[in-house]
Amino acid sequence: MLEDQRSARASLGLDGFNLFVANIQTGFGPFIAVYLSSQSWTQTSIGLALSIGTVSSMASQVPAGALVDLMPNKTRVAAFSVLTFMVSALMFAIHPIPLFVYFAEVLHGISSCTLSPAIAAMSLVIAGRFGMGLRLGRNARYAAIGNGVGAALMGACGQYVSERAVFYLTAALTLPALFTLLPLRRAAVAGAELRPARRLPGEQRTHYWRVLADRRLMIFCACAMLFTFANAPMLMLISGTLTAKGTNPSLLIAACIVLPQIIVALASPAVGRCAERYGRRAILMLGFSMLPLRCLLFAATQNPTLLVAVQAFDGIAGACFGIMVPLIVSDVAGRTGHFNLSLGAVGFGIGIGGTLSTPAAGWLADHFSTRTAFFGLMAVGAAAVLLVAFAMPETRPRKEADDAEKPP
Amino acid sequence: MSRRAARERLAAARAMVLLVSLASAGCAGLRPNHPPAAQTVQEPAREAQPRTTQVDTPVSDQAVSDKAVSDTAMSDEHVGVKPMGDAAQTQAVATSTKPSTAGTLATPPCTCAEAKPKPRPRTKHKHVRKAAPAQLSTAPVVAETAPGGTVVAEVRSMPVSVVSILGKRVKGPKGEDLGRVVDVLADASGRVRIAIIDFGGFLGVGNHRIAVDWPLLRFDPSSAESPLVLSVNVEQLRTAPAYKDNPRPQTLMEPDAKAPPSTDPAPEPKK
Repeated sequence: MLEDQRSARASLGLDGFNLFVANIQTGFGPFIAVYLSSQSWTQTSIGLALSIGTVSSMASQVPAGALVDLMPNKTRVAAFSVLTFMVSALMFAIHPIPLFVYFAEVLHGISSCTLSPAIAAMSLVIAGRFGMGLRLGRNARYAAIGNGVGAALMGACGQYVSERAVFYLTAALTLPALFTLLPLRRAAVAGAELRPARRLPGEQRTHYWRVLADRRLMIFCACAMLFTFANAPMLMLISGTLTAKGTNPSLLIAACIVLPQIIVALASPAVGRCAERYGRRAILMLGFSMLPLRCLLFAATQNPTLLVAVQAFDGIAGACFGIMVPLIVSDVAGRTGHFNLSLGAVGFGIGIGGTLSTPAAGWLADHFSTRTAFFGLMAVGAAAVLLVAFAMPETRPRKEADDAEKPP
Repeated sequence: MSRRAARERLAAARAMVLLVSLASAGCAGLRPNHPPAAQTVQEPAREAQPRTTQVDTPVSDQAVSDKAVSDTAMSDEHVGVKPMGDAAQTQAVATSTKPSTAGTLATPPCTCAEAKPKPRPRTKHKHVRKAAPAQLSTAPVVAETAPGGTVVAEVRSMPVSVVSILGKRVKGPKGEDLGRVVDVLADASGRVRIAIIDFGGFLGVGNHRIAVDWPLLRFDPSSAESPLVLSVNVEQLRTAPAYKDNPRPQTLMEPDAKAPPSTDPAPEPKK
């Protein structure tokens, strides 16, 4: 009984934590460039600051994953990451001199890399392997709500108060995030009985390279990289069209950001359930095939309203992808003791895809046309779909088989 | 070495310093005029100012009316003011000349041996004028050649008030927000030619960057946060091509501001 109450409260806590973390992350997005511009930063320095952020988060993906694996208490990792976000946001807000900004970017890059594995690990502890799909569906729902609300809050804050206030708001939002971790702290203690994500003490861990070299993980990593490559520059490309054709570009771009989040919030639990019922491949196919479809529709229309409407497909893709990444990794590596390391490896692949694609798509759009860029991205997205269709194996664990080896 | 030769070397060195400081520090306010010739000692330059004002009168109706409203202390600002259309190309022409060129300013100036433009403090116009590119210049420079070819500069307070440009908001004619100045580009002579304005977007997503011809901007120093006014339609900004980093970017400018740079009689080389 006590257990049930605890896990119910922990579940609620995790919902809230996802929501606030997504809120916080909105403040650290591309808005930083706007803020630094308003602080009379030159374009060169802004570019340097953003590159430092990208490099530090890319470089720390895998090591941070390995580090989180070694930490017995994931709640503490999450709390520490959020505190680092607070420090980082305050450094931006209080004194945006280059040294502080660069340092804040590094701090944020590293703690992002420890936070997302920590959330996934806490989810695994709370929900167990067979409830993971449902749990991740909930995570994605609350994260989407957090993203949408955060974008609206911070957009309003930047517009009506000041750019600086956005970072104070970001720092303030870390407090409720820390608060929601309190019930999780207790659950983490009980987590040992709930469902240990790793083997019992004394049992030997699988060697890390054996986990990383798992064929399923490598194929999935490639799929995720291709998907992100095709997905990341999409918003940039359509916002260009929206600016030129729409009557209120800022509002339309805001709609393009918020609409998919609404869809994710609505669809995520169902996606999580379907992943448990129909398997991972089906959901992955569904999500990935949204991408070429979107490219095709974007290339076909210039109508601002239609462009925003097509973003709904991004919501479906986002829900599928956001849930499948931790889910498939937990399928593959959930019990090896290298779950977070594997998650970091996939995150690294995603990071590479996202970093390379924006310049590539920008180049295509500059030298040919936006439409050409959409077709290019469509080709990459189609390659991701084909890779899933022909190479990606099903990773859903078979219950019977797992029950047999489940520790008592 | 003759004094003249020394001066020229000095001026070239200073031009480079100005360019570098302009580019690196983002000093949108710095607006050196005629660096190659800007070597006259400060004092004579000042003496010439009042006369310059009169001399300038024939330049254009616009300039005349502008001058009428400004006080003598600011008169030196007006020498750079050009009629809307060709302000960008020819404003250097108006840089003050020696008294000897009185009455001939509208003709190719500054090219005769005696007519040396002087470095003079410039600032944004107090009286906002349509065609007035904000004229900001370096602090008064003392031309005294040091052994290493450097300038012995002296520190003095700026005679006119100046305001930072980079990162400041740009307003439309009706006070609407048109974005923010994120960069200022200068030509080979160090003169500011283009403001890069970043506008639109939401939380940093989908911002649109446009190169705007400097003379299209007017200055309203009364507003510290948004001292710039851009008199163009939002539609024009939206449909303008995004700024691409190349030596001759597509730039939003006055329709008649397309006069080729070669018409610029100023001694400074245009791109």
